[in-house]
Amino acid sequence: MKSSMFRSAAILTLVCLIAAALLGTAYTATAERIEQQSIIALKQSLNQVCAEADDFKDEGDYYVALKDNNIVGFVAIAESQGYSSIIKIIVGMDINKEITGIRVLDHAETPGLGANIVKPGFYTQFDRLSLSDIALRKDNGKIDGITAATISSSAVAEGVRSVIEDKLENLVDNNNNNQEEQTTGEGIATRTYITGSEITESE
Amino acid sequence: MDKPTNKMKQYLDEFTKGIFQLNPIFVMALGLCPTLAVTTSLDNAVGMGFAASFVLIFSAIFVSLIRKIVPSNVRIPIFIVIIATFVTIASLILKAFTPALDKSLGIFVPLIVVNCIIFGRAEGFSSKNTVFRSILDAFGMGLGFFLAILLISTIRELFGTGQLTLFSSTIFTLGNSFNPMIIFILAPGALLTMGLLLALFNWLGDINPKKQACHVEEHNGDNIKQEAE
Repeated sequence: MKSSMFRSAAILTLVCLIAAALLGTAYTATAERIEQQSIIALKQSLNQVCAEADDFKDEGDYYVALKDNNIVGFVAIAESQGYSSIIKIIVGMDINKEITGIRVLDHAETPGLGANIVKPGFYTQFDRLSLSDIALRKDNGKIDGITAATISSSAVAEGVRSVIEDKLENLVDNNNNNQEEQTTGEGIATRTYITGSEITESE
Repeated sequence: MDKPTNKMKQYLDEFTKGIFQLNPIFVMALGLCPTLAVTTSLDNAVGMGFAASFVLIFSAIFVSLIRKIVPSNVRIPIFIVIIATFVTIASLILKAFTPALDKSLGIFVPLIVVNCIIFGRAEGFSSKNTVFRSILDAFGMGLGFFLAILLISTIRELFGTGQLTLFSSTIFTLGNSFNPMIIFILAPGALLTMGLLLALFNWLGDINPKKQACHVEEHNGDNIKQEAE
């Protein structure tokens, strides 16, 4: 009896050791590729929401979109409670406070209904909108909701709206206040006074 | 028995039984949870079919290899460890090479560990048969599962969205005049499609002359299922 117990334990241990070795091998073989894939995925969505930029700087909770080392916009990730999941949306905004693009990164909305928020027909509606227009038509905005998926649609609009209000707008304002005349000259009304190279903010 | 043709036929039977007489989904009704959940689109079904077959085949090889040294009192933890290992490897491969598919299959990849088909075959077949037979059985069962979820997802995607897409290219469309029946891609549609197909397969089994043989084997399947649960 006792010896059979040890035998069982020994065999179980052996199987676990072999399994651990196999898993270790598989993990090291794929780790680098998995890392690369997530970087590629992030790069891709950054490029999609801010096509103008040629480089992005990671600032922790947002990204700065750069073109020839000049700031052309900001990208941040919004989260919003949808119908059956938290919807993660990546939002790009240029220094004119217009949306350059949004993409849904992650969601688990109802297939065939809410899940249609990942389709171009929905998300391209946000392109070039400014803050006041971001809402469904029934809420006096410019976004057509998805039929039978009002909650998911308005959750995306809400998420985009709040990330702009909380983050992107401030980033753009701060940036424009810190810019010199020539770069802010792209059609933006600015409240900055420039004295030499020193910047004084108006109160 | 001694004639090579007889042996060949036996081997062939070992392979084909998983596709028809003992189809894991439609006859044994094993592994229904992932079947119902991931059959919303063809892409998902293909990914799930490959992942589950991969696990099925490799765990069959390992389980049958060590079947003679495994003490019966620890066989279940040993089978689970083996299955879980291959599931993790499959999920790493999916993550590394097809991240989009990995995302859409989500939690159902790790859940292959508790898929009754795999455990059922390990316990009910591989642990009692030679490596070669186990591989044949696993291939047959894998193919049977694959074809079954392919069939269910084709029906659901076609009627639920009005078109079929495979790897983001549309391969068939019912045209704009067709109004998609959204219920097919929702949860009730899964149960409806599944139920109707089960009924169809049962009916086909009833008019099949090999009925007797089927029933004996079906009983086998039932035992396996109970133990797996």
